[in-house]
Amino acid sequence: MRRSDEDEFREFARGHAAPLRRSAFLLCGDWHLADDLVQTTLIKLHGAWPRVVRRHQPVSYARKILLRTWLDERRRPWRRAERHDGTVPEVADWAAGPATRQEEASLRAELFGMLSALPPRQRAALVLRYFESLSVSEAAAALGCSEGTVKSQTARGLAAIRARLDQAGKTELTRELS
Amino acid sequence: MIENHLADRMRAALADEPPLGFDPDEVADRANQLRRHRRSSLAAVGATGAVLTIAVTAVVMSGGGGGDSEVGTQVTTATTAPDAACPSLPPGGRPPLNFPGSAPIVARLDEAGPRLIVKHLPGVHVQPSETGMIAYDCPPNVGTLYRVTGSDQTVMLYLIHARAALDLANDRYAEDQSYRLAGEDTATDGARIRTYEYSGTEFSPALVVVRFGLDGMVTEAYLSGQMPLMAGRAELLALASDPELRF
Repeated sequence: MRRSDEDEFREFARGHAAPLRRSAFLLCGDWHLADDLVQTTLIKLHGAWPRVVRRHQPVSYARKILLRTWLDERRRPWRRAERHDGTVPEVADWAAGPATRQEEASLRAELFGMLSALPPRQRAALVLRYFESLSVSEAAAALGCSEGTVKSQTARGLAAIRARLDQAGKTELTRELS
Repeated sequence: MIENHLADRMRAALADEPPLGFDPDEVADRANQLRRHRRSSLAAVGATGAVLTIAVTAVVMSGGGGGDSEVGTQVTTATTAPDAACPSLPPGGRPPLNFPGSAPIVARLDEAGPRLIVKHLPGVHVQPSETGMIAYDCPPNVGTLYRVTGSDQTVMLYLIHARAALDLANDRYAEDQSYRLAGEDTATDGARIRTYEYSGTEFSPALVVVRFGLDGMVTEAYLSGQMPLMAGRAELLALASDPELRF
């Protein structure tokens, strides 16, 4: 790789590692695994960098690699040994009170409970559309599928989450009434 | 709107984001090292292949060859496999990357994988693996995943060599409720063959043939994607039984 390409890659990696890891975390629910996924993504991206950067699309390409890496990771044999709870805070937020921390942890657990119940592609569609705010066509490009598939995956994912929230709301109401 | 609610929840879930667990510049350094390493490993395999070809030719010409059907096996098979017990992984842990002598094995299998898929699965052409073969230790295993060109289907090759004798214990599907044992039989060479069908909902349908060799080599050929799959049990068995897929 040329020196200028190498420098450009390093600049990209420094600037985009954190945003990519946030998406990775929402996909996998584990900061450690998110670190691994982003490192793997950057290594793969490095191999294709001269071609990718010439097409002026490193961000979308990196996102695509990240998604594939995550989907592939889920198939790998050692996957079962990993935890994907996403509920353990990595950094203690000492500024927040115990009640706030408890509530945040509870909300996070609920989010990952809902997301982990979805098939991986539905989950990915939701993260791309509502966290990364991608358009349907951009999400389709990242997922390597048609726009219609993105729409149907998104609709199914939202429906499943709505059903789960409704159920949780009923349970909460029942608990309060009793 | 549930969309806004979901987006808010996602942003809130990132509130306690820890610092990056790696240095992006070190990742770039590692990517450069991997590239150099892969090139040198491929060169080493090429050189080894040339030397072995010469050696095998010399044996055959001197009348010492017992036929050519075993040449590939003689060239590539390790004589013994480690029989050591592996410590159990800690929660969240991964097995260590690579194992002693894995670099040339990875390079050889990287070259052989796509070629053998084309050879044994008619009409199935795969793209180069995005990761290349990945080797893990404890037990020593090598594997990767290939995407089928023009299709959503994928082929995964996975090899484990933990013992020097029939190793039915290294069947990753036997206790997985998502995989149904669709057949089990014995090959003419004594290897045990198990065929599994994926019946879970998390992934696409899949057909897996696992070959347990008498030398301890466990070879999996895994085809996954929307039905109909582009190959069946016979083709996957031929792939899993190829003498080049071993270490």
